[in-house]
Amino acid sequence: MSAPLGLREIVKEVLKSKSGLAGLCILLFLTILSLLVPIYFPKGNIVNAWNDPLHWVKYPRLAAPEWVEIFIGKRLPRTLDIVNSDFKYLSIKMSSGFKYVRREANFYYDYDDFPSDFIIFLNTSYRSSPPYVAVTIIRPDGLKVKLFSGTLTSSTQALYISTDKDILSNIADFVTKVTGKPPSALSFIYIFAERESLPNVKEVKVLKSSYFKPPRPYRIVVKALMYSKKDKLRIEAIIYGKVYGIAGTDNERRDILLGILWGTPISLAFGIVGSVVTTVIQAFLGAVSAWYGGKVDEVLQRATDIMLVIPILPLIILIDFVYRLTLWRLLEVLVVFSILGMVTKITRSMVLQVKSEQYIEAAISYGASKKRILALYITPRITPYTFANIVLSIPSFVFLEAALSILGLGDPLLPTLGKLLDNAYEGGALYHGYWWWVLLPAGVIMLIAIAFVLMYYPLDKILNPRLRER
Amino acid sequence: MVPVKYFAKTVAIRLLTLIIAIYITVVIANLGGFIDRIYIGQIRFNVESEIARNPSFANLPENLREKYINERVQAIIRSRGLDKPFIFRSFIYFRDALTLNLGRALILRSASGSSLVKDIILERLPQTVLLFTTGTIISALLGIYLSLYMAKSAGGTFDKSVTFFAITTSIVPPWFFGIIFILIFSFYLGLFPSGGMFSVPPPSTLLGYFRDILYHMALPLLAWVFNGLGAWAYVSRNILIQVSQEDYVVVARAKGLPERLVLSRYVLRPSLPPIVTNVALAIVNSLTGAIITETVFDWPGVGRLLYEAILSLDAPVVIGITVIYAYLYTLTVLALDLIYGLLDPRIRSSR
Repeated sequence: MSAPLGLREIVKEVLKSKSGLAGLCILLFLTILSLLVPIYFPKGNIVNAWNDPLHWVKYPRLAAPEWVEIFIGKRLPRTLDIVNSDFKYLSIKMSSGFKYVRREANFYYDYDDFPSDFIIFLNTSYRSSPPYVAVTIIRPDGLKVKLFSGTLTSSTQALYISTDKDILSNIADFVTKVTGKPPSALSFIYIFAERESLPNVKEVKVLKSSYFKPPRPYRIVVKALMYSKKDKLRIEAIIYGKVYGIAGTDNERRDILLGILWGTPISLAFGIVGSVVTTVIQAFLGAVSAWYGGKVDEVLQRATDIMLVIPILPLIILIDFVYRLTLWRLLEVLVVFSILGMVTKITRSMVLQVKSEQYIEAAISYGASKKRILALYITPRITPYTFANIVLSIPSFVFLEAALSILGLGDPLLPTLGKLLDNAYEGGALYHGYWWWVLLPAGVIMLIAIAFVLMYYPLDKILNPRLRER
Repeated sequence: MVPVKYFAKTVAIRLLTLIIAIYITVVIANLGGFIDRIYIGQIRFNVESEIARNPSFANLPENLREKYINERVQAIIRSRGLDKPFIFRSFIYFRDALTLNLGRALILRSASGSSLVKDIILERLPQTVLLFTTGTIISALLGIYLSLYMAKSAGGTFDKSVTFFAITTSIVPPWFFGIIFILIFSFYLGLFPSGGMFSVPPPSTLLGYFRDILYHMALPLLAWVFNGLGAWAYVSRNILIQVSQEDYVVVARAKGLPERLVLSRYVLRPSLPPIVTNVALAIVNSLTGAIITETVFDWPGVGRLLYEAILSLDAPVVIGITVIYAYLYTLTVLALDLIYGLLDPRIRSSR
C-alpha cells in the first residue's frame, strides 16, 4: 500500500521525474501545435472544408511531404497555380459582333520531376453561344504543343490534360511530329520532356527553364473566339506538384497536416474524457463497495463480474454500426458499458486494506460519518492509483477510437487521427506505399501513447514502492 | 477434506453471473428488439421488390397488390416468430443460448453452405487457434522468460528499459503494429504478404501448403506477439518481485541456500498461481480472435466472422460467439477457483 499522497503531490512527483517531464513536454508540444490551427487555416469552418471536395481542387493528389527532398536529393515539383490575372491579354480584336482574344501566361519549371497532374479551368459567361477556344503550350525550347481546340460545352469547363483522351492524343501527335515516332504510351508529361529524351515514357527527362540562359518560361497560350462583345473568359491553370506542405495530401487532395492538427485535440479530448470519467466512476464504486460492505458490496461485485464476462467491444461495434454514432455519442455509450470493471475490483481490494487501519478506526470512534470518512480519509488513499490508471488508459481510448475508425465506424464528419488512418487504409496507402498518409497520423497517435506512458512511469514507482529496488 | 460448502457457493455464484451476463448479451445483441424492426423492414422491402419484378402482378389493382404484400409480409413475420413481443422472444433466445442451442444464422453461411451457427463458428475456429492461441502462448512464454531476468536485476538498466518498452507496447494494440508492419515488411521489404491466409492458388503439396500458411501467418503473429510480450514480461516481473521480497525468501537466502534453489522453490512456486491464471484467461480470450487485427490482415478467423455477423446484423451468430466466450471464460475461472481452493486453504477462508 502506498503512502497517502494528494493529487498535488502526485503531479509534483511526475514533474520531478525526467520521464514525466518529457511526457508532459510532448503533450504541451501537441497542444500548442493544435492551438496554431486558426493561424494555419484561417478560413472558416474546418470540418466543413475538410468534407468539401471543392475546397481541395487546387491541391495535388497524394503528394508527399516537401521534406522528402532532403532524403531523395531531388527538387520535387510544387503545385503551380496560374490564375486568371496571370493570363495577360496579348490582343483583343472586335469585328462585327465577334470578339477575338489572345491571352498568355508564363511559368518557369525547374523541378527534377514531372508534375502529377495538369488541369486548365475555363469559366465563361456568354450571351448566345459558348466561345471557341484553342489552348497551346509553347515550351522553353520553342516547340509548340497543341492541347485543345473546340467549342466549350459548358460555362464551367475543365481541361483534364492528364486524362482527357483527345488532349492526350494531341500530345502524342506532338511527340510523333517532333521525333518521327509515336510515343510508347499516352501521357501528358511529354509536354515537360526534353526533346532528345522522347518518345519513350520511361526515359523522358524534364525540360527545365533554367537550361537556358537567361531562363526561358513555358507559355500557355489561349485563343478564344467569342460571339458577343460582353462575353467573358476566366482561365486558371493548375500544374499539380508531387510534394505538398509538411504532411502531404491524401487521395482527395486534402492537406493531411490540417487533419492531424484538427484531429489531435479531438482524439486527446476523447481519450482524456473517456479515461477520467470511466476510471473515476469505477474507482468510486469500488471504494463504495468495500467501504459500505454487506449487500451493497455483494450487488456491486456480482454486477462487476457480469460486466467482465460480457465481451464489450463487439457489442459497442454493433451499436455503433446500427446507430452510426457521432464521436461524443460513442463516448457516452462507452462510459455506460464501463461503469464497472477491473478498476472497481482493484480499488475495492485497496479500500478493504485501508479499512482495517487504525486511523479509520479512530475516525469511527470519534463519530465521523461514513460519508465523511469515505470522502476525507479513504479517497486520498486511492487517488494515486486512480490517477495512474487514468494516465495509462487515456491512450487506450485514443486507440479505441482509431480501431472503430479502421472498421469504418468512425465519426461521419470529424477528422480524427483514427479517421485519417482509416482513410489511408481504405485508400490503399499500405499497398501503394503512401507512407506519409499512414505514418504521420500513426506517429502522432504513438506520440500520444508514449507521452502518457512516460508520465505513468514515475507513478508506477509511487504505486509499487516495493518493486523499486532490492 | 474437500470443502464442499465453499465449492458449492463458488459454483452457484459463477453460474448465476454467467446466466445474467448471457441474458444481457442477448438483449444488447438484439439492441432491445431494434434489430427485429430492421428485419421486418428488410422483409417488407424484399417482398415488395419481388412483386415489383414479377410481371404477373403488374396488372393487379393497387389496393389488391398492397393487400397481397401485407399478407405475405405478415406470413413471413409469423413464420420467423417476429410477431411476438421482444420481451417474450428474448427469453426464447436466452433459453437457446443457455443450452448452447445456437440455431441457424440469418444471413451468413459456412463455406460448406451450412446455415447452422455451430458449423459457421467451428469452421473459423481452427484459423483463430492457429494464429492467436499460438501467438498468445509464444508471447506468454517469452514474456515470462524475460521477466525472470528483469526480476533478477530489478531497478537496473535492463529492467528499466524493458519495463518502459513493455508498458508502451502493451497499450499499443496489435492491429496498429499490423498496419505499420504491413507497410514496412510487406510493401517496402517485400518479405511477407500483406494479408490473407493462403496464396492463390494454394500450393499442392502438404509441405508447401504448411509453409504457405506459415508465410502468411508471420506478420499477424509478429504483431500479436509484439503487443503481448511486454505485458507478460511486466506483469510477471511485478509478481516475481513481490514474492521475492516475502520474509521467507529473505530467510531462505540468509540460510545460505543456493540462489537457484531459492528461485525455483521459494520464488517461482508461489508466483505460479497468478501467472497460470493469466495464461489460462489469455488462452480463452484468444479463441474469439481479434476483430480488428483479423480485419487488417484479412485473416479468416472468428474475430472476422464476428465482424461480418455485425455488419449483416446476424444476431444469432453474434450471440453464438459471445455466449461461447462467456461459457469458456466462466468455466475457466471456475476451474481455477476450485483448483486454487483445493490447493491453497488461505483462499477458501478469505472469501
